[in-house]
Amino acid sequence: MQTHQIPNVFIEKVKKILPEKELEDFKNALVESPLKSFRVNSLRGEVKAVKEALEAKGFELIPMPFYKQGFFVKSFSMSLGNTLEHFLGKIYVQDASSMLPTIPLNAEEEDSILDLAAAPGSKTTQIAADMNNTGLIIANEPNQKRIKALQDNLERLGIVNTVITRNDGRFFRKMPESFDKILLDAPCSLEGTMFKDEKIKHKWSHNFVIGSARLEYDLLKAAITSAKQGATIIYSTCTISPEENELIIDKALKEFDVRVEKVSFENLNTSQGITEYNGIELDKDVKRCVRIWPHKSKTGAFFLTKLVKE
Amino acid sequence: MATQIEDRGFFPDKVSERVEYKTLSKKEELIIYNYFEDLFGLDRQIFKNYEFIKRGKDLWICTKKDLQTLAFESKGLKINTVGIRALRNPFDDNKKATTNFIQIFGKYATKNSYDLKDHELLPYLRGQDLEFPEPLERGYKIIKYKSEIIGMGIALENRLINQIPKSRFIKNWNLKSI
Repeated sequence: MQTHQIPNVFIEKVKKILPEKELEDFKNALVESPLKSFRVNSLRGEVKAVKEALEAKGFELIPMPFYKQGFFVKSFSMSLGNTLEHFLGKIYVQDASSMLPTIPLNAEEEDSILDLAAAPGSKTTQIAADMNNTGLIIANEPNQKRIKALQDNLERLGIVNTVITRNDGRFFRKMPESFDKILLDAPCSLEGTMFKDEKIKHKWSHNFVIGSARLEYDLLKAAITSAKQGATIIYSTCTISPEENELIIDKALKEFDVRVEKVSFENLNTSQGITEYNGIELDKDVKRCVRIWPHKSKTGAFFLTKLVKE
Repeated sequence: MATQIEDRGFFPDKVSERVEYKTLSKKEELIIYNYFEDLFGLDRQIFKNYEFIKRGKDLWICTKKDLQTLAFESKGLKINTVGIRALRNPFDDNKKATTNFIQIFGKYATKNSYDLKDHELLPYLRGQDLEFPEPLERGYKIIKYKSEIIGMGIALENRLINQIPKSRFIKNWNLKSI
């Protein structure tokens, strides 16, 4: 896809939050596919051994500087899905930016964790590995068709500690003070990926963004309600519009007793959250949110916040 | 004809449909532990941090903490699955451990395994049965390749019947894959 096909309304919106001199680089990065990447499932394989086995098969790998289980694939002789390592559940093909939210979640053995929008299970399986397959993960996915992919991935990677539920995510407000940690990788307007895909690029509209934002805030309210006191809540999206990112966090800070904790990733170029948008001044702590711009990080666009319930 | 998944109520058709989970009685637990011990030499101690539960016709394995979620079903939590399926037909004569279960716990087995030779791996991963000039000891086998647990098979005289789920076959394997 060419950059001139990105909707003007979207570009005008981005101009409000990104310096003009970066705009061309951003537009180019938005339509390019990032390097293919995967991570090693530590429940099944050692990072070093898996890397060596794949290199022996002709894969040229670059270790991710910000995640020790992750690798970019520079060149390959076949599909990763056709390797013995994939069959054995030693690897999971996953976008680099999608590996980020579980890092500040800091899942530990015997935690009780809610993954509020779980399918296809990329992050659920990543959390399960961090927990060494102990404790409890509730992996919720309301869409019955997407549950199949979630279950398949759990089985292939050997995950035992997960309960799949099929509730509307807003249900979890009925389970107050239940979880130590919550991941809400929210169903968003997909601005980080949709303009690469001819089939879905036409879906984007301002109304789509506003509709997504409404659902995202409802889901975040449910997440905060179901968190125990002191619990960590990670809110993330792969979209760019502030309506679905900083504005959601600003609203949560006003309505709930939560704080934003600073998050940093080693060797990854990240930006702070914006604190002013369309003339509205946001809570100053919103700058602790993390924005990942595709032209700066060489990964997909991403937004991430770590909230702690007081 | 319903697929295996539909047949076993793996994914309830209606959102309101509920599949019942039941914990095992001591007697049932003993049957399961004895089965794994007798067939594969799996010591019951390896399951000490887990629970087996009945779901439909099958037996599933999960963590002890997973079971806490069952209490929330009455409040509207719609549980789809708890842990992974471990054993089909657990209290019949034709009980069978699943590939997914064996890929996790098969490394502790001390008997009834078959080590694939280099030239046998690729056909087995493609879903093919293997044939031998001499008969193997009849019954279920844990299929290994070097130190890796590939899955399950059934030895019937001169044949090793492939038990890898069809969904896991990969048709585009080539020699580089392994």
